[in-house]
Amino acid sequence: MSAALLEVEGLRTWFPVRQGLRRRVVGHIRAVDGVDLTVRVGQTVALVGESGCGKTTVGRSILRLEQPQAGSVRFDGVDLLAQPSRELRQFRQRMQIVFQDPMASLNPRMRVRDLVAEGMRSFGIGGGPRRRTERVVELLQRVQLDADHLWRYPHELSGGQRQRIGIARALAVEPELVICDEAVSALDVSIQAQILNLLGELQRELNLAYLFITHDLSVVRYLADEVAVMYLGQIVERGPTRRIFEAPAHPYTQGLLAAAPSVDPQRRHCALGVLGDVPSPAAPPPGCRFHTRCPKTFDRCRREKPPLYDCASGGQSRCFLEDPSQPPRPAVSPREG
Amino acid sequence: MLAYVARRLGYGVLVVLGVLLLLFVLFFAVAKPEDIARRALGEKARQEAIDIWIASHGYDRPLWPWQQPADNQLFDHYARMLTFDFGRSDTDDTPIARRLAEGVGPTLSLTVPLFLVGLVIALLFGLFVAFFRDTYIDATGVFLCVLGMSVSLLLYIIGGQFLIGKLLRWFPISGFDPAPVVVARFLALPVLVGLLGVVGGDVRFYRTVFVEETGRDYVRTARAKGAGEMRVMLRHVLRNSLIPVMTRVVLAIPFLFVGSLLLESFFGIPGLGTLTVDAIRNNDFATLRVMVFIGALAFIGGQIATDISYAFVDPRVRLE
Repeated sequence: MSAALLEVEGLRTWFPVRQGLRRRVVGHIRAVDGVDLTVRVGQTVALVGESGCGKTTVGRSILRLEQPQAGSVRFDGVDLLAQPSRELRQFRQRMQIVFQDPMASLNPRMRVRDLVAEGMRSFGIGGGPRRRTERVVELLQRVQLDADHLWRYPHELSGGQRQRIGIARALAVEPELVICDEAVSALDVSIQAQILNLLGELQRELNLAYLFITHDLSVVRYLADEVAVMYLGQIVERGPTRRIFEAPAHPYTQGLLAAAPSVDPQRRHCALGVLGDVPSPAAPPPGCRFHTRCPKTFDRCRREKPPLYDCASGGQSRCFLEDPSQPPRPAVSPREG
Repeated sequence: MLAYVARRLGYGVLVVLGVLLLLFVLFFAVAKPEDIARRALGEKARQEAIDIWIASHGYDRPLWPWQQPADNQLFDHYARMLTFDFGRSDTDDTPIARRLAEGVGPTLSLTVPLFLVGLVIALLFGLFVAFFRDTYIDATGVFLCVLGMSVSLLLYIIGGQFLIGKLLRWFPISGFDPAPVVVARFLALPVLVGLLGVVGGDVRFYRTVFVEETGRDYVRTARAKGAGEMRVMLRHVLRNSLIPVMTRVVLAIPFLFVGSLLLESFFGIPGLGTLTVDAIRNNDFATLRVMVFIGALAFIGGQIATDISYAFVDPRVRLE
């Protein structure tokens, strides 16, 4: 197994909720509340979960585009959260992010050439302006765009082309880790497939590591070596992709997989569904955060917070059902929805 | 692009024609030439003198073309205004064109520095408070701006004249001398006072624009690319804010020629603002007509220039 490139421990990013004339802090949105994550060199880890579970914030916090309150983000052994912003900038060369919205995340007043070259300029790589332009052309070819897109503006490109620009832009500084934040979610399926293939090729060529943030499980299955499932700011299950898809341990993962559409009627999962709506991340439920929606809830879930237990089949699950000391589960009928 | 400019100018011409009609109704149909003549000649002028005055200024002719198609005041008014043949003042018979030529220099020497310095200060201060948004620096900045906007310009004028002109004696209280270096001494105080009155509102406007822009996704992208904060603010935020900034700036440019009524008259600057104030005071309708016409032209010109400038600032605007 390759060396760990990114190690996230106990990451916590809370957003203050302000109210009233004096803008006093009355509470916190606990977007990310104690997340551990490891990405190895050349590996793809998928971070999945419903919208609002904090997965995007995890990605941004790793790059310190949001400021986490606690925890550590070690990149190649160096804790990024402890770095002053000057030093932090140097690490941004080695870890890049592809954003979800390919239109909004590109400066509308810059041409493709400058959009892609700006990162090189910040880090002084790629030689002078002319050399950089040549390199941008190479990058465009790499993401299968013609060189004549060089002087276009984002609004003159299609969604798929823009997302490729976003990828070319991220690759321009030769990163080791690319965080893909819903990088293909905004695209239609045929273009999604193209981009995913492209990402796979680039990974093999450049030995990139990906942290793939998505809610789309079919993408995960196709791309990821490992999966981490997030719920209300915490990781509830993680493990090798195959294990997660074939034998999901956590009831939430089971619910997610059951909810995912499948083209194969034979392969329908028949786990119990997830009940109701996501509770507010400003006031997460006591005990297990998932107990309000879990079809398998029992007493202990409401009282205690489950840690991550090792699963027999590999990986970890934040569920008392995996606790070896937990007596066999009392027969509780699923709550009425 | 050319077609757009042509159409925009065409609309502008229509508006100008409308403005002229309105002016005519207000100044010719409402004001009686007898009253104007009495103002010019004095209360005790004899009827013959008044009649002569009215005839010599052409106010005795029929107003409307349906009264006399060949020689009427409406057509005459249009013809003269549109050819910039402004005629003579109602009060002292000096050519209005000469008055304008004399006044435009002093006016510009006040308004141009005020405009440029104000623009730079407002943009920089706007960026500054936007960068520190939602902190005490931001709150204090906005408070000062609102304070500056809320206090009447008259207070700044009189307060400035008293404090800087009288007590500190840094600059003359009022007056004007067009000699190259001396003029700066006379203009320093009015420019300073003008800034106090103008900058607050501008800063607040620019701050709003900048804060909105700093929240955009591409700004986050720029940071992820490793761009420094200075570059993020100037290259990304400022440049993307140029459309609303431009609107405000281009709209203001034509008014540089109209001058500031209050500043000029209080600081004794013999510019177009003073010319207008004097015309109002003396019922000099001929001059006043011209000033209103020029103001309207400035406004319309500003609007057109703003629209066209969009195309240069924002690549997404294609003028079709």
